[in-house]
Amino acid sequence: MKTVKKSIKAAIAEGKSWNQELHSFLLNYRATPRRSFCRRLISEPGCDVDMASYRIHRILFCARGHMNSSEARCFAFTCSHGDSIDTTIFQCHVFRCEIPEAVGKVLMSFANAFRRVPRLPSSGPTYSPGDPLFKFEVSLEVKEEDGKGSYAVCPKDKSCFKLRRNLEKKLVLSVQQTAGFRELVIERCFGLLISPGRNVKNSDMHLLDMVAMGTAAEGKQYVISGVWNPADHAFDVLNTETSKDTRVFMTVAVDLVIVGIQEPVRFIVETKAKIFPQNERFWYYAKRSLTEQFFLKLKEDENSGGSGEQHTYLVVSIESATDIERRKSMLPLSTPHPPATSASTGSMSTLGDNDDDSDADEPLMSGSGDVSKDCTEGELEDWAEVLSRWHQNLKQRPSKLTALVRRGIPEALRGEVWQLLAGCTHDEEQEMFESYRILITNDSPCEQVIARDIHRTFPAHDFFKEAGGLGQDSLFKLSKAYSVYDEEIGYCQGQSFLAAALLLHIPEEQAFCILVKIMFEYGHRNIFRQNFEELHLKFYQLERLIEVGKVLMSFANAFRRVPRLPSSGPTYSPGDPLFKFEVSLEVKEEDGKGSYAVCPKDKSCFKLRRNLEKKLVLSVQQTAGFRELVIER
Amino acid sequence: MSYAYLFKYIIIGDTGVGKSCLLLQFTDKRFQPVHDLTIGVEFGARMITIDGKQIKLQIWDTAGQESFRSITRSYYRGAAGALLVYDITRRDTFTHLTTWLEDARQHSNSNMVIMLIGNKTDLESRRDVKKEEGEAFAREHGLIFMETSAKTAANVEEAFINTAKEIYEKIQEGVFDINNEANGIKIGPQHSPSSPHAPSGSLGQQAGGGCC
Repeated sequence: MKTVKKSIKAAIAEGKSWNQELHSFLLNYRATPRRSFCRRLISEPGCDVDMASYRIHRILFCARGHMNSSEARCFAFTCSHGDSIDTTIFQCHVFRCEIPEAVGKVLMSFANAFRRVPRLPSSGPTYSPGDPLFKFEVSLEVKEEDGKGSYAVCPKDKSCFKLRRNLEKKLVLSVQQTAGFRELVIERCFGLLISPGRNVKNSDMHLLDMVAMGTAAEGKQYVISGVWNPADHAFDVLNTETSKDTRVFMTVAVDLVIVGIQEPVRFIVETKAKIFPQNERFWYYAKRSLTEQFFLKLKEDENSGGSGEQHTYLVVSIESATDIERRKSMLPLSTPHPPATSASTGSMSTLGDNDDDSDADEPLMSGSGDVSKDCTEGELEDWAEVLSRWHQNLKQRPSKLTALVRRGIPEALRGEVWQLLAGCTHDEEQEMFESYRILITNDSPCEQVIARDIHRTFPAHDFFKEAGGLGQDSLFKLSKAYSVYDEEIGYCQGQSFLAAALLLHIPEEQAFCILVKIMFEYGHRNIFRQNFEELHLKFYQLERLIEVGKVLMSFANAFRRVPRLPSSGPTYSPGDPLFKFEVSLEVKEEDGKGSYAVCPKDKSCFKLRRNLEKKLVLSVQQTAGFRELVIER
Repeated sequence: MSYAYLFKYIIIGDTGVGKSCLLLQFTDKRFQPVHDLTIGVEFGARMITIDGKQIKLQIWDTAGQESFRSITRSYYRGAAGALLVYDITRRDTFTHLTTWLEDARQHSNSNMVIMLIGNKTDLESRRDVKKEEGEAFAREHGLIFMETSAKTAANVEEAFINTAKEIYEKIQEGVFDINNEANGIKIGPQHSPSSPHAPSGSLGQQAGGGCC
């Protein structure tokens, strides 16, 4: 296994294609007899007997043969078993499928089965009381070689470490359980990783050489330390002096094996650093380490058989306090973003502030957040009924459908409903599947552009964030196939988001079928055609509509004054010369377009904005009296 | 926050050259290795100080793909400065500069200050376009030129601020009609337009962003 990993790593370091390296590795591998390591999990052709089967806890590395090579139908993965480092057995399994298309399916099911390993966006902040929620505190210290052979702690300002260039660094992480209904024992750490940046892809994290691990503080803490060589090119960003007021992000991750939990547990700490010259002296500083709280939610593994008294648990979610905080401030997915507010948003007041550590203005990447998967029993029944009627007659949409769709299609049904809505018939699909398989083998002139966009599409989504992962791979293929299919449009930036949304719910071939329908039958491709001619038309229409709206609004304003009839109120004695007047006040503000817009009012409180020119409008109206009084001026 | 002037910028160049990363580095002082693809147009803003005056930069970041030009074109008008970006590791992004420049010249006002930027100097080992070539192109077309790295922040600050200085000088010289917003310059809300031609002192620069 080490050889696979090493050859891939070497390939990456040398800037070669790891795919190609794997390809040649696979060739070599198959040439070497390794019967003791290579077992087949799949049954012999023609009979249903499993040759061998066992539990796999973690796949270390997984790859498939190069698409256009004879290894296209092969895939391989490496995994490990064992109780301690000394007894661990590393294995590499290589498979060849009868049907080349099955490779993708098998890997997809692997991905699904193991998707839980990295941080999962958990569904909600509240934990039901019965839930086994565990709390951990992870603290991080960075040390630097002090020229005398030992390491000195680096200073830290708020959450920002102060590092110096070119000095060898040491990371010290201590992990301590702070809550939970029982004690969890950390068995060992099998990886301490670091990378510059934040929201870092798994594959971009760099493994550090661990120097020590073990318990401390009477067994209450587990301490891991590792060294990091600043000269390594992967850490260039963390070894480049930051200009005044600038800081860089860095991400540290630790993978732990905890007794009773089958999967590895990864804690990810995101922090910031400022990089100073090598000989910088710091006069005043706090040496406190950075601490982060983690909430680990576990559930008992029902499949573990409960043979021993040892309970085994599955990880439901791992979240840091920062994650939770960040999620709270995040917009719900359903709120459409105004197009002009992503990137860094123009909120000047926060940029000028000295304390901009809050991260409240952090750019929100597409693919973050959760889609609500909740749906009532009743709704599901309605859907079941509608779907069964629909399947009987595909030509006619069931009557209740529109109303149901408007309430939102339940997550689980989305793929099926989309297919039906798009009108993908079985025969058509078969035809499409065939052409898809041919299309993906063709070259497309858009390939480079597509490749450049793949990692910029839903970069925060688990399915798409892994470079070279299954999500990115199928997104690339789908976009490429479409660009070959529709030469006039080819690939237009933005299409990848549409394709990705489909891929989250349905397999590639079916997604292709729907994509074609959306583009051609729903007229979506007209938007992209001829330099967005149709889009410009739609913009024009929208602008005119807004103008009409404004005219209507000014009508409304003009007529708003029409006497709201005063309540008759207490009666006045006829002889009394008492008159009543109603005075109403409106405040208007300059709207930037040369006219004035009415300011909103809450109870008796006007809401005004700074710096805008104001206009007061007072209207006075007589509402009672024994005769009319005329206001002259 | 009040400002003396507001300058509108536009960032243009091929897809994937690092336009959005330059903007993010300038406005937020951070490099985001993973980010969203820009569709259409996005914007950011930051305050800088030139000659003791607060200047707000409002920066429009555009999509680089050819087909989006019909959309981004409408943003040239009303821009006082443009950053024309190419990737020093991809020659094709350099060769496309001519068409970008034609486009910009055709659709902008003639006084727009254009800064040519060769981005990604952190990838020196993969360099495909020599610095001299960038300089020559800039000389030939009358542009200012800088090489930057959005990743290490090298020259990013300078690129945005030098462009602003150039615009500011043009204002001092009376080249820009600052009362016409189509030029991409707006006078701040508290500042009367009565003395736009104040004697120009030495140009001091100071970043206006926060610090940690």
